[in-house]
Amino acid sequence: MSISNQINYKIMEKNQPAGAFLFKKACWKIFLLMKLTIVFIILFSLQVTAKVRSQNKVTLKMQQASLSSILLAIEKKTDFRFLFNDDLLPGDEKIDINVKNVLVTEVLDKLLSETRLGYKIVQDNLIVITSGFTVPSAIEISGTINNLEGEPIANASILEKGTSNGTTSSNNGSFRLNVASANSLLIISYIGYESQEISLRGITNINVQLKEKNSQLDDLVVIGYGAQKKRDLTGAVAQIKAEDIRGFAVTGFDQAIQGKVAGVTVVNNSGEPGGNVSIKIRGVGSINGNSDPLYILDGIPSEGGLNAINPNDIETIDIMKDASAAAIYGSRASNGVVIITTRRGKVGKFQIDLDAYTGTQSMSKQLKLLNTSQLFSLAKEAITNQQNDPRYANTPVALAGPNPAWENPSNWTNTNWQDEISQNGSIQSYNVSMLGGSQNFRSSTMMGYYKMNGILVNSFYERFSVRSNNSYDIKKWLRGGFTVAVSKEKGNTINSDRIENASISALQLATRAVPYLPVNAPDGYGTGTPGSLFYGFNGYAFLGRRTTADAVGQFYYPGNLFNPAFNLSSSIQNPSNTWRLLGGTYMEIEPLSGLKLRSTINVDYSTNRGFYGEVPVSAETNIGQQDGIAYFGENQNYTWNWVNTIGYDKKIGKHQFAILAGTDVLKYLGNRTSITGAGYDAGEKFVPDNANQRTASSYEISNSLLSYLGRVTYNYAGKYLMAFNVRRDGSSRFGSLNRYGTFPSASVGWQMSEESFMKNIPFISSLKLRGSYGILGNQKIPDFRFISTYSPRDNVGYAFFPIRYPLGSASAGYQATQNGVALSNLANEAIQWESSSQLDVGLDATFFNHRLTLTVDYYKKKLDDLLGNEPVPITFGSPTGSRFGNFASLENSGWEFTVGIKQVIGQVNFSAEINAAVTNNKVTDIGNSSDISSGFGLLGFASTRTVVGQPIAQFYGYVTDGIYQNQVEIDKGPTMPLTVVPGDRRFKDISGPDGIPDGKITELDRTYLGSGFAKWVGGINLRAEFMGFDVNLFLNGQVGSKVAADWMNYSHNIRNYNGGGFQNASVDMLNRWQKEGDITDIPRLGYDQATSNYWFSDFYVRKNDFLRLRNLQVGYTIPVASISRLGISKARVYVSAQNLLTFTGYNGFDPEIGVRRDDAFGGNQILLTGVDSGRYPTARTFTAGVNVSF
Amino acid sequence: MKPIKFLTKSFAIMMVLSLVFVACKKNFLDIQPQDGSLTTQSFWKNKKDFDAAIIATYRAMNNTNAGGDNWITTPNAILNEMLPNAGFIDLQNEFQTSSRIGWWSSFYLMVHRANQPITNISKGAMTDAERKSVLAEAKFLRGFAYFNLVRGFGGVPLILAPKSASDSREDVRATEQASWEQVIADFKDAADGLPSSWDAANVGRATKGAALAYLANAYMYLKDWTKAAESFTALQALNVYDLMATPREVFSEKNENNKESVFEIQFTQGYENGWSTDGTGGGGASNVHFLGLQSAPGGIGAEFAAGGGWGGSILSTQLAASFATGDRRRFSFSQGGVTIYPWVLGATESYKGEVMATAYTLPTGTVSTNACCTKYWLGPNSPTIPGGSDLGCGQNLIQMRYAEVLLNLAEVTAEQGNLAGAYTQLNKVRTRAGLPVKPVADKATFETDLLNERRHELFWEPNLYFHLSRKKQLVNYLRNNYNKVFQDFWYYWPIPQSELDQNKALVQNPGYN
Repeated sequence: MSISNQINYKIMEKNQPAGAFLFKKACWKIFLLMKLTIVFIILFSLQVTAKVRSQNKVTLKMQQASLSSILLAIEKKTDFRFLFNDDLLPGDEKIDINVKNVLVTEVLDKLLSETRLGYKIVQDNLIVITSGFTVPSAIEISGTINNLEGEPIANASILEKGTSNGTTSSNNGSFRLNVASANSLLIISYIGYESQEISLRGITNINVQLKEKNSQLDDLVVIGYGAQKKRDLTGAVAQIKAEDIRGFAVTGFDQAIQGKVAGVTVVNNSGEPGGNVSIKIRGVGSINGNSDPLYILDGIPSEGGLNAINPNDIETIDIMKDASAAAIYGSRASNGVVIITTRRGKVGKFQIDLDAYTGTQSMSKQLKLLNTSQLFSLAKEAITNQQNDPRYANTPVALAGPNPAWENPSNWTNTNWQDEISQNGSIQSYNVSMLGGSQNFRSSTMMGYYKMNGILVNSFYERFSVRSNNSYDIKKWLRGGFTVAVSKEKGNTINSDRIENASISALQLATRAVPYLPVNAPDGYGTGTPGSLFYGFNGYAFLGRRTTADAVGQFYYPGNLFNPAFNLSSSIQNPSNTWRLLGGTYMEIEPLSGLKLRSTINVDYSTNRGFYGEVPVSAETNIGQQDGIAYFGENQNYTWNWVNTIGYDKKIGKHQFAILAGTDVLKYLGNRTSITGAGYDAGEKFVPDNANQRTASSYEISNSLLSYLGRVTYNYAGKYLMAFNVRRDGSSRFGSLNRYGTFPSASVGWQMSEESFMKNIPFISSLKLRGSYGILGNQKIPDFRFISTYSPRDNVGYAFFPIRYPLGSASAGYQATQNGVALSNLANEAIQWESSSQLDVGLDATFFNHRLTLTVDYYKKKLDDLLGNEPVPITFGSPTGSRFGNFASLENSGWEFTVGIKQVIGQVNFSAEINAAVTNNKVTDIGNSSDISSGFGLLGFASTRTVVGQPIAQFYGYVTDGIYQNQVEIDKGPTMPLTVVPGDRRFKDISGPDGIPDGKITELDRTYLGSGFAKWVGGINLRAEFMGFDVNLFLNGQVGSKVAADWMNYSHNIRNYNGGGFQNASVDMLNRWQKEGDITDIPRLGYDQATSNYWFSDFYVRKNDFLRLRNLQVGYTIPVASISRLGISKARVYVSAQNLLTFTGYNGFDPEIGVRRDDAFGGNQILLTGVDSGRYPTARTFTAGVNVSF
Repeated sequence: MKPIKFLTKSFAIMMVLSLVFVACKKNFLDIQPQDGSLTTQSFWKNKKDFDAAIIATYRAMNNTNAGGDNWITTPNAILNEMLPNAGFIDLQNEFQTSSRIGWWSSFYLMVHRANQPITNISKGAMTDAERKSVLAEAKFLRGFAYFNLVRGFGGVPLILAPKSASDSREDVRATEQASWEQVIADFKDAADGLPSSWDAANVGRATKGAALAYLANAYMYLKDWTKAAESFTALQALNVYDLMATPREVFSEKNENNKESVFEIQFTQGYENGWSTDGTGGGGASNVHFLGLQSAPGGIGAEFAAGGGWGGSILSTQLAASFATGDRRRFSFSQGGVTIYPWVLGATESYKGEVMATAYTLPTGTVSTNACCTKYWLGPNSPTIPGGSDLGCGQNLIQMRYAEVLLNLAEVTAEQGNLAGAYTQLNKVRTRAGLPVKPVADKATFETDLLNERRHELFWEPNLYFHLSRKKQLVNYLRNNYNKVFQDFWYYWPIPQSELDQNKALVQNPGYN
């Protein structure tokens, strides 16, 4: 390209827009007045933004001024700036001007009319003074656009900068465009390639070679207290960018990163709106339930509450998987670190983005259940079998005989309760982002609104969020900035695993509810008249026997089963409201080049108001809860964090050093206030004053962390890379014996492709070997476990009861009680940090001009001194029977693979990324116990067992061996500990007291049946772009995990164990054993069956391998040319389907089963991972959306 | 450049400050609980705190595990005279499995709670008298817990101060002799410091008499008849105990802590303690037990037994049939025109017009025609409970009463060679039951008479089993009455397996491996 007709534009000395200056001033003010409310700040910045656009009028009075000084004055008063050649301006002319609130363009017209000059508004506020009278006639530019290999690029966009004038390249890459000026700037862009800006300077034919966006090796990766180029990294860090998760209709970013990164296992524990997600990096890291990584949000450590972060605000998510990368976070990094960076304004460009989508959700699967007539016939068969069984012949059940009502199923309705509790959900999300900046100031403000109505009645989640990131370069050596984010969340949670008053999940209830009852009872049902079959409440039919004393009815009608629809829609209210304010401010000085001193103060404040209410229920329905009960809770959480660091970067020849040292102080303060009111009457409003009894409690909690940190990175010629991290942490959670812990790590990298011997291998673009080793810690345990505490409440079981003992004479009919105080925590002064030593070896390679990328990692992670409740001898008198201590060890190891391909095939720009990880887990120590068992459900149903040498939390149960066909088989088979008859389940005799089969079925015949942790987890991302269309296909899946299908224990059994009578069940029951020769796995029917039929066995442990089409998105980017006159620089419309298809052999609602959550038992119960009690399933979602940038 | 220097300086100062702040503010990491929990530093301030610790120790006896129902069910089920829910059908199986864990855990919890005030006794602002009284009460409770542990398991680990979680887990079992000496030491201290009675608001606490009664019982285990007799003498010198006029009056919620009562576990009904919906209720918290509900015939109304009958526990037919005719413990009698009901009601017999069913269905499905024991549900005027939900019984569980003391005294007197004296005591109990006095006979006859009297007086109470066990009479008793085999090694219960797992220094009782 030759350069001719060059014009020497002189950019006026003051090269920043006056508006920006004002803006900066305003923000300084904000900076100083950070204590003002966030609302004020946002309003203010919006107002400033608006001003920039409206200041196009000027008031000016000057005499005998030169043209240039007048232009300068206009520049000062408005946000316009001028671009002109000094030589062109008439230097000696003296002009008088007196205008009041006149449009700048009008002023210019007048001013220039006397000269031979013209002008042109190039950008919003840049005015070029030209030498012509008039706008030059159109100049035709032609050219071709190729890639580096010389292949033509079709559909590349060519835009005259500052105008809406543009076109796209044809199939052979050529284009023609008429531009206004020979000096126009052209912007050439194409997806997947770096955009180029070409100054024409008189040239009319150009050949442009577009460079593919390179392999991201120069991308900055945030590594904690700093950033590093990806090519210089020595640790295992994965980065997810905004565009990777954009358009995902999810509440939180955690759901969006599922399947995206090898070794990061994301499981939706529940599909409920705002539902609970668990993220595990490189396997289970704990046995007490806290395997969560540390989240750092814009530098602020954040525990929980991830939904408060609008995924749309996120720029990058960096996940540190190994010790090298995470060690700078020391004591909290054992389970990995996730660093979230939100969008920031960039220099030189002001941009407004609008993102909106809306869609619907539906339940992707219903279980097939018996209808009324099937249920009646099975119930009849069960009772008849009972009568014919000599063992039960004279029991009340048999004497009652089948219910005559079962003879006429047509008299009854046929309700599909799954329909009744579900709804078509909806989802909507609206986001506005404003980003921009100049050399000295960068700002972004993002607002979002999100609402999801779940697929179960009454469940929803709503979020409003605002975030503003601002940074200033005040002087060359002085920088600063602040971030403020506010969010408001509201939701109504339906606990997936258990409805409080039913202790079972809504879905499970819906599968058990009898179909012969209507949802709403007709007139007369609700009156409670004795003799009517059902008693109702508020017009809802309940599933209960008539009265507790109704001896016959109890064999017919299931007791203690609620109306599931009523339960969800009316009887339980569980709304919560959370406000969260996150703020941070920093200042950084650089007194010498490379030496940076930085101080950051962060604040995280949230307040949550929770409510839980159960409406009163009349006693006749016999469902336990009689009075209404309501709980009000208010929590406040406040964390401040002060970080000071000194960093020094220096390059001496080929040696490049970076040193960082600092302190980090964090304090958390929280308070909890709650009022529980009981004894509300029907129809009474849930205000504490209406309750008959109230209990209130209020307390404060607090903890602190004090840390010193250091890092040295060294790099020789970009070939040999080294990094050392160390952190020393002190935590208030440990006693003086072990308060401090030190966590070092070291890592090395070898950029082999930089070596001369490799430079000649053409297909290798880059190749890096890296290795790291380090020790990390974990301190996520309850506070004060090292102090003995006393409490007036008994720390027994899952509730806290007052310690009272009656004394005195029983004059008033009963004795008065006196209050006692007892030890509530058995102190363990010696508790210390959980530690994990981690080894990682990895390879990062790119081939064929970075088109093929490959990352492979092997790791071994030894987790020691794991904290948890360890049984102690009863003689210790521990109120819980256990002590909190370091006692367990685990070992995780695994491989992670990520392969990426980018290829242009014809006009199609194609890319694919596949990741997979295999995780091995082994328990290496569990202290003095021979095993840790965790059971749950009917008859200790879904139990897991954790023993040394085996993976954690394996399901432990019997192995079935079909159904006994006849008495001979029973007599010949192993002895059962209870009486069985033909039609009952048969089990395998696996072992005995001596480890060999002993001819008896005992507890020793139980064995390991797999666990809820997947062996292989992975994702596949396919993307194709052509002709403005883009198609994105994302699949994720897992292999090697099992589910303990607790729901099957009910759905494969028509006897209602909780309260007697018959309940509904799966259609599988039609396949029950009836006579000799029936080959089935469903036992015979009977009201009382051999309890061995319900023993936890492999019948209930099901594979849940799955491959899911998580997201299918088709988008169309409207050609810029056709929309740019609207001021739109980019517009894309898309439709998306989530969870469209799931390939699985699992028979439950959803194969994705995470950890069981039970708030009454302290949240996530990691030892009950994979237990499915009828989990709120992930919905199928269809959305349509737009992304528009101005 | 001035500002840069200034700022660099300020920064440096700030960083130093943050370090200093952190280094100087040592207590930055020293955070004490602010949730209302008390720590070793903030507790133990005054008499009230110590008293609260004592109350918590009493409370440990309400636990349904070994307290509550199992006080009664465990020993009496082994005797085969109480057929509870699960049914102690297979004694062999019963003894091979470590089902005594409730007994072990409840009494060690009690030991632990009693150790708290004992160890911290020097703390807090109290007068010497208050200190002595706290110590005496705590030692009674600790002695009581060990008394129960030793008579169940033999020698046990003697934990005499609260343990910290980091302490060694390897506590060895003391010898049986040493264990009894510890029990005796605690009861002696208790007898020295406890009052012989309490004011109306504190009735139910341990008394001097209770300490002496248990002290005597402990000496009986060591066959130290002289010391045992001394203790009985001291007890009788207190002049506070006497038999109630009829057996019926001994057991009732209305007559709790009566003049015959030496020590009772206090239970009470009432809204705040029952199974209520105030958010604090629930089995573990309640000062209620289920013995009354379980032992009242199934379906019987709440007007006869608080909460209505569940019919879960029934009395053995053999026992019901073994009472002599006219025994007021078995047969109703009339006094002043009022029917006084006995402790045993057979099938088809009636109480206040409510006829006892001929058959009770046990939850196991077995139908039984056995009798029922009314000690825990047929008290006169069971009070109506305000607040409704009155599941569970508030009737105290009597641990030691004067009738038993008399029978124990009879045994000691006989052991000292005074059979006439022994019969005098025994006949006091017989007379109250409306039976003719037994003539003085030889030692062997006396043993039989004493066993019979204990059986008919103390059935379904906590101590009958242990008297038989102490005297090694169980093999004959179970063979003669129930044709069941009782093996010698069963006299010592098995240490719970989970406890052996956790404490490697523990040695299992012989025979259980």
